[in-house]
Amino acid sequence: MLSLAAGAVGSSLLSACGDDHSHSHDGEGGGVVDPSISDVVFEGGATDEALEALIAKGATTDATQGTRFLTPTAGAVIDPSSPVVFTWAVGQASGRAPLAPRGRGTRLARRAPSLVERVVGATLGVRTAHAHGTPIDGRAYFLVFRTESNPRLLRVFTTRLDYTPSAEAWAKLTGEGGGPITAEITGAIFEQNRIPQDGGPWLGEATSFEFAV
Amino acid sequence: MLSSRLPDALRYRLYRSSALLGLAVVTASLGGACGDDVTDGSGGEGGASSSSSSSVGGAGGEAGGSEAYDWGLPPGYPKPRVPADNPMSAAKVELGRRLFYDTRLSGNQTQSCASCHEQALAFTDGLAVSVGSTGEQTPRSSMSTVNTGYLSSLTWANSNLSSIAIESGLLLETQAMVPLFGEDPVELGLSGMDEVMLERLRAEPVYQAAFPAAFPDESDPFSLQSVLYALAAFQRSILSYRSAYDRYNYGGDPTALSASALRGRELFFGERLECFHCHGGFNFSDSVAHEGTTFDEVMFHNNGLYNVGGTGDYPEDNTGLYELTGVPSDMGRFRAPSLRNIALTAPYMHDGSIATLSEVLDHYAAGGRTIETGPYAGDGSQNPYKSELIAGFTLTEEERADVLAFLESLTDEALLTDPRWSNPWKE
Repeated sequence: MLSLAAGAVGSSLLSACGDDHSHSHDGEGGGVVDPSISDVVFEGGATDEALEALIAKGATTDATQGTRFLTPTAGAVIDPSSPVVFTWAVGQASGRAPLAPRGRGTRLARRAPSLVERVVGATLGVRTAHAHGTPIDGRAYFLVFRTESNPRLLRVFTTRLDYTPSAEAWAKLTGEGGGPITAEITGAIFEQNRIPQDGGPWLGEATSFEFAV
Repeated sequence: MLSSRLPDALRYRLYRSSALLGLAVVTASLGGACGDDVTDGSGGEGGASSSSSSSVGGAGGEAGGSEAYDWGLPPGYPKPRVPADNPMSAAKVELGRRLFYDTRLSGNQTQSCASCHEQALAFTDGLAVSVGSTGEQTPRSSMSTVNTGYLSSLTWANSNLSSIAIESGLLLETQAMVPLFGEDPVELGLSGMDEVMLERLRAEPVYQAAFPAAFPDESDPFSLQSVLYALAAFQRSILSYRSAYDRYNYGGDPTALSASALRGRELFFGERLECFHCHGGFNFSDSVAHEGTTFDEVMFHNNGLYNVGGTGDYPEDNTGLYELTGVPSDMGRFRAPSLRNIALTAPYMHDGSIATLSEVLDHYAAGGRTIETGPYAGDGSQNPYKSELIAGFTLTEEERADVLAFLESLTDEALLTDPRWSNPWKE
């Protein structure tokens, strides 16, 4: 049993949903964002509310429900010149061949941050996450890259089964100065951003890789 | 007449609900179709939300076996809510399956429930509007009976049924009376024939074992209530959870969705298209309740399909929630159906007036449908009662293909041949 540390909710700030449609959350169109997840990159419509639910609950290991990385393979030495696609699968599904990396991965990258997010991000240094979007129904994955010296090198919360780092995220990974990087996923099944009784979270198999010098 | 044979529990609830909602007549003429409505009375609010009933319970199986009912669902998948009055059991579901496919449940013994709800078509009939056992057309398209156990409202536009569900949880049980006994239009045509139907069932050797097995505590298990409860239990058991989308989203299988479908998923759940507001959640509908939910949301929307004469009107025989409430702003308001298996359930909309999914996208992209000529001419995008979410959008051809690929990924192929829900009389 592994418990993910639940960060304290301290200062708050308003986070916009962006685009032209607002959602209400804890009031009108804004909500409380936990600063302990302010570094997290959100992908695939994943929400901070779901992540907070995941972090608040202790993860267990279960080979049938945990994830396993498909690419890159464990111990891979990666060319740092361009981002690679990280892919994974759950339980028995991990025995199947992964999808070929999408040629248009950047097309699905996060939307451009709204003015509010840019201002807030610039002034307070918080992430431009897609907060309080569509509630998650189904699985989502908390992907953490870490080194010995930096346990939060890069953290991603996504509903997808793949992740292609943005240029900024890739720079974080490649700029760590050598040595192995470990990636680990904690996944859960959500029901409107909440984790039902039999929905996990489950800790997956970790993998490690390093960059070619 | 139906009223003389109505099960006490349902009669009481119908009486209370009809009284609360100002229904003039419920028992004598339930009216409407599976895809239609109770037609009398007024009252009720579209978009009603209410706390769920405390009388609904879990999936225990008191009748016909004390074991917990096995839904067959994967971990983490929502479970249907089950009314405390009608717990699930394998024996009851099996009886319901036989009844669902039994033409003795129509007055002239030509149709069964399955006549308008074919398994191969995700339990729809492929017609624009369904046709009853006497040949009478209903005004509306047959709705899928898949995942009805998750719905907080049934039919296209019936807030009264929603209220029954909220109060008693006996939504499917109550709704079954509409196609069985409805007179306007006639579907299965059993009005005034409930005793005749029961005699037919009593004479069937299979039922002589199946009814007592399903209702072991009943002194006379052959009753209308047993028929309704078994039918409801069977319908509640029909669940779609194995589509490609589910294999990706719940199963964690990266091979399940194509790159195009994944791009379509992002568009579908994005703010540009707004699809998810009415077709969101695991069941792709905004009128959903299941085990663990504490709030039943029931929503009806005008999607700009018509604007007859620029007045906001819909065709006279199909005005949606307005038909029940008489409230002008309820004109053209219908429930957003689940999009699960949507690729199999053409034609689309409440009246089957759009033939293909691609044309459905055209409709929403335009923010409503324009009918140039004829009795229904008008620009639906200008309908004054239209939902604000139907604002229109533009899609490239590639994006259109992506959204369609995503919608097609909601097809549950296993459902279409699953023997749990197939015709037992052919076995």
